[in-house]
Amino acid sequence: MYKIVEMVRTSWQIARSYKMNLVFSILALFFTTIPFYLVAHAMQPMMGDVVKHEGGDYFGFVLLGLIAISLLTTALTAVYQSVSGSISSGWLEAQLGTSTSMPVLLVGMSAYQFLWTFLRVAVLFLYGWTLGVHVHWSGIALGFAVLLLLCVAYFGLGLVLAAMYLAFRTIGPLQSVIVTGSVLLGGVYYPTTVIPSWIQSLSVVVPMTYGLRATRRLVLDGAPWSAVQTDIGMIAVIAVLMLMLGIAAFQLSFDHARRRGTLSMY
Amino acid sequence: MISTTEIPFVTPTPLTQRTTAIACSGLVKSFPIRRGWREALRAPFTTRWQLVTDHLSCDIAQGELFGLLGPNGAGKSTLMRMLATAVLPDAGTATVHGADVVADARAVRDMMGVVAANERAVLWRISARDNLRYFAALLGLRGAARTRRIEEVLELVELADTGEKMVGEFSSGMRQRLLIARALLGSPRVLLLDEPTRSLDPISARQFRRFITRLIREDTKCTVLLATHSTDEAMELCDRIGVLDRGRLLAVGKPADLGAELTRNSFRAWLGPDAEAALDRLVARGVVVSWSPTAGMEELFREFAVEVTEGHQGAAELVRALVAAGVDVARVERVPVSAADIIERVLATSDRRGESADV
Repeated sequence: MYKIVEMVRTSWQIARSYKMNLVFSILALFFTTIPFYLVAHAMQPMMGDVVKHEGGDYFGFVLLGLIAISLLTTALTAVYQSVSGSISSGWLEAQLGTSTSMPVLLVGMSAYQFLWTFLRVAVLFLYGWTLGVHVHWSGIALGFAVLLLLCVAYFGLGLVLAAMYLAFRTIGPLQSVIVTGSVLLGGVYYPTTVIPSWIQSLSVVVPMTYGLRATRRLVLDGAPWSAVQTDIGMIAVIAVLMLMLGIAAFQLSFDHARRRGTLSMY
Repeated sequence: MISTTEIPFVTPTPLTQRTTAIACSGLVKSFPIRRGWREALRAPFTTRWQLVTDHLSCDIAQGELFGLLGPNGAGKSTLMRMLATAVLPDAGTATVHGADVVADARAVRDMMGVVAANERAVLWRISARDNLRYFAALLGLRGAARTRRIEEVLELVELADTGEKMVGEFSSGMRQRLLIARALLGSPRVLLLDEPTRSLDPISARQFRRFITRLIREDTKCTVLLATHSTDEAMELCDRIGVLDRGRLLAVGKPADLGAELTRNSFRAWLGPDAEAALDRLVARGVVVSWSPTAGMEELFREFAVEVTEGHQGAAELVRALVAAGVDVARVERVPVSAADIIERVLATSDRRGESADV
């Protein structure tokens, strides 16, 4: 654990050295939320009824969607970005020269990005609350746990992306496909019930669908555990499957890279 | 495989009684050859392979500084990376203090410090001390022991005063020393140095060599495998040199022995007037194999390149015969050899004979 703590500490040191980037990253949180706030309020009369099972407040609905997208993006790209960046500088191979295991390295290399994202979404959530989102605080802990499961599911896919990069030095359009698919089919800006039925059937394989729906019902609607247990069960199963898939893909790709000698070749 | 004794100019240097630190046996590694679009489209499912190490065998003793010399693509870095467990061999075995690089990779990493050719493999935005702190954590060092070890290696590489400086502001030489410090953090028993002076100017490279000599000989006394293009570096630093080409270890020996073997019969002689006729007569008698005048001149003595038959004995006979013929002899000395000559000669001979050394 202390290795991961030290890796996070170092990542923070590096991030801190880019002062303006850090400042803009925080400011962007506040400024990018304003348009969503205004548009959501304008659309409230139209969308209020549509999202009534998930709190009924369209701004709150979108806010949790934005939070889920932030977490998805980090879970999906953190490992891939760390791996791609450290391959080109030889840094990955240098770290692999130590006796630290690969899982610890992968978690340590991406942990800071997760912590930073959690901090940012916490600030975003509190900001939304001050702007009038009605929050059922009793559902916060379970809602957070569901979002963590969502992160695990997309972290598994992130490992697949990193594996692709290790093997082929590109991830092709996979990242865009996953993000776009999750946004369109997972109910980020609208509930999945409003999308055409033939596409709706696709949303059952999107982890975002279950994770986001459960979180919204817990946090915005105050739903009890029994009302969301099916969604939570689904996201838990998907998370385990995705993680196993990701680990297997990364291990295969890593062994392939060691055979081909491409761990530090750009 | 053919033993070194079959290559005429190589003096096999036994490992004496010391413990073996690195043992490679029949290491084979091939990499796929990159193809152009046309070839890839024509035969998308075929792969052509390039042999990078070809049944490479060698033993390196504990505490030895072993140099790997060879042209680009000889297989030096691949051998290093196989020993560092970053590349898996296709066949053969390699052990470091008895631990197999494939089966006991973690144990090997615990014993090894690696300085790769890529000096960009540092964290540029933080200080040298913080870079080492990060790596020390990965090596499992904690608390006061970690702090103490970081200060020790910073002292060793003479970066203690600049330890708080951001690495991005370091010169190439300082970065190289930082990489050495990083490799020494875990008190390794084996140190792999892959072209450590590649990006250094000649003065920095010379300082670096002095530093390495002091570090290895006096301070750490660990086993070192040094891959280099710099023949001077290998000659100056190494206990033994291995000449590698196209994945084959062609010759191994002490730098001085290799040089002496190579130039065994080549001498330069500074001779007085009428030496040409005397040399011709000695060729006819078989004392001299060949001779040629060079551009050198010292006072009245002209310089000649002379090839004799029996090394120093042949040279002695040459002097006797020249004096007997009335030729003034000012000086006779063996031709000094550069390591580039060694490589060239080894490669040329191996091309003719198709051999590899088994050390």
